[in-house]
Amino acid sequence: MAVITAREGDPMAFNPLAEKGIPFDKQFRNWAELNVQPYDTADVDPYTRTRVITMNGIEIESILHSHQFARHCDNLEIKSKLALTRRVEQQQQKAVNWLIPGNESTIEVTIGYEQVAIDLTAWLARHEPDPYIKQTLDFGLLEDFDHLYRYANLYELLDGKKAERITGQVTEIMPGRPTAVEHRHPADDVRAHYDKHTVDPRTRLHVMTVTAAEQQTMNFYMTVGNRYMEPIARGLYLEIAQIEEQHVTQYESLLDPVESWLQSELFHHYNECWLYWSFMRTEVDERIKRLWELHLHMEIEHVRITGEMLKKYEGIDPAEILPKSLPEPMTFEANKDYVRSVLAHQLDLRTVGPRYVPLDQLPADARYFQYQRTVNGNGFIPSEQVITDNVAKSGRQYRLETQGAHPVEFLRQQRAA
Amino acid sequence: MSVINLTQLDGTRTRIMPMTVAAPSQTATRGDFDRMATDVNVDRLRLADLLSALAMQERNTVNLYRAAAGRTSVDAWRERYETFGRQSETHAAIYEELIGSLHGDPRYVSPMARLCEFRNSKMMETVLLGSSVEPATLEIADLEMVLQAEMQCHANWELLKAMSDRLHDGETKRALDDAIRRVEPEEDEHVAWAKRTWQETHLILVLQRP
Repeated sequence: MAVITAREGDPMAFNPLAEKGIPFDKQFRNWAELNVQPYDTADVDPYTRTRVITMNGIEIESILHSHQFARHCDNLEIKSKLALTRRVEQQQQKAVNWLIPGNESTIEVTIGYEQVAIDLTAWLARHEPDPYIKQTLDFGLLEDFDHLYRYANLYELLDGKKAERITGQVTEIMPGRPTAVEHRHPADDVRAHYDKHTVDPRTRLHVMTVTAAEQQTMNFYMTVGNRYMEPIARGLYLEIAQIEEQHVTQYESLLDPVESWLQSELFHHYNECWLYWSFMRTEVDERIKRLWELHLHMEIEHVRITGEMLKKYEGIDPAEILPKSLPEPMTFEANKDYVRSVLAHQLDLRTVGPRYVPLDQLPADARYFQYQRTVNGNGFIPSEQVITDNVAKSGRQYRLETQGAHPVEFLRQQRAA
Repeated sequence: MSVINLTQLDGTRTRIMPMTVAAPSQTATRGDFDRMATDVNVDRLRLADLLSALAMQERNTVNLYRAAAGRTSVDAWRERYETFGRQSETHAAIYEELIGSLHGDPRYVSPMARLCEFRNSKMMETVLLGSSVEPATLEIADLEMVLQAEMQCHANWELLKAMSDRLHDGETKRALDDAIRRVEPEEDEHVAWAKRTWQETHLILVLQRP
């Protein structure tokens, strides 16, 4: 397999439309090839884990989108090609997700998921050119940041272990916008969306990526949250799973519904190219780097096949609607200063429909407050209880504050009496 | 030539609505059209929005012709689709020239244009049902889409003609008349051919004994 190297003149330029992918008849792998050797939890780089989790989410979204498209179509050629690419995507998803070892517990994988949410969303927000989309990313960032803190305390409460075993030192763990106040009326999670003609190509990639990541997290918590015996764990997973539903509603509503099924399918595969290319360039594990490169070469062919369908059925050449090269690679890296600055300035934001509004500007009869009273009623709020319980057990909340005290004074560590 | 499938890279701008957002550099406001058609007393924003939608209709028709030409198995139809597609591309360019000559923004995509595109894309989705009909029905479906698209295009140009008739002589009226003059014969031919061919095809298929 030839490594895709930098091009003369512009080391970053990479255009999937100009590359040759792997023919479909060579994309299927046997069980031994798919049943990959997992990484070793003891020495995996935290950002290798986050890349693995991210691509699992991307592949799942690609598969689900393809299934939904197929349900609205009876064109045999299109359905057959969707089934073909989807079968390969399913194999890719296994090869990626099976990198996660069996001895990473549910809560440990969960902590990895939330680290993805934080450092993915923060990077996207830092690189997002549209102010409203950036604000939406910032808004969700503070909520996922808090989820990591709650799950980290659950981990210590149940297993006596520290989340930094999973996250390393690259992501801080402390309160964000408290989960208890994140619960909003459904209508307040619907956002305005970009317009396909004016959208920066990066924005579309960012929105598709974060939607897939949050959807994966939502699906994961929906499925595994009931695998615990302890009521506090069951409660925390169900509460946070509801927030992830809010996040999926939020992020998917940023997409422009004017984009057709075929255009959206093309953008899905293009997004996969971007991410596999990004991760191939930044991966530190040589074995996994080769997997990203292999999948990139497969996705190049998926882009080509889908582009041909777009030409045939909509008269649109993909080169007319895709940029000449991929944007800057998505890079997992520490975002501590950025997260802290968002925390310091946006903690008290809420939403009224698609608009962002400071809490103190919400009218007293806002539906937000009614919804809060309903779901947080009867006094049991798992996300608060888990902290209370861990303080009672451990003498303090679990935190990893590497950059000093929390930027918001009332969220600083309170010592147990 | 016109850009058929507008993207941000073409310097496109739009007017944001409650459910749409755009970067500040790509957002148009009412004031951006104050210099448009200043020799006549018109709602300039409404004019800009309308011309944008009419241009979008022409652009979408180009895409339709490309797709239909690629799929048809009828050589005579393919030739027409290819010829009319090229002509429609020219008509789209004429729309852009018209908008520019009226001091508007040829790359402005109005909310009305978005709706036009959405409607047309739903029409194009007809082919997603392609395997539960006979090949001949699918061919006719493409032809019907062409007919509907061209009827809309033709109606759009007639609208501009009616608008010109109500204007006094001046820069705007002359620009409209020039554009109409350049497209009218071809637009007439497009809709006439589509309608005639659609009728004849159905009649042939229905009236012949199996």
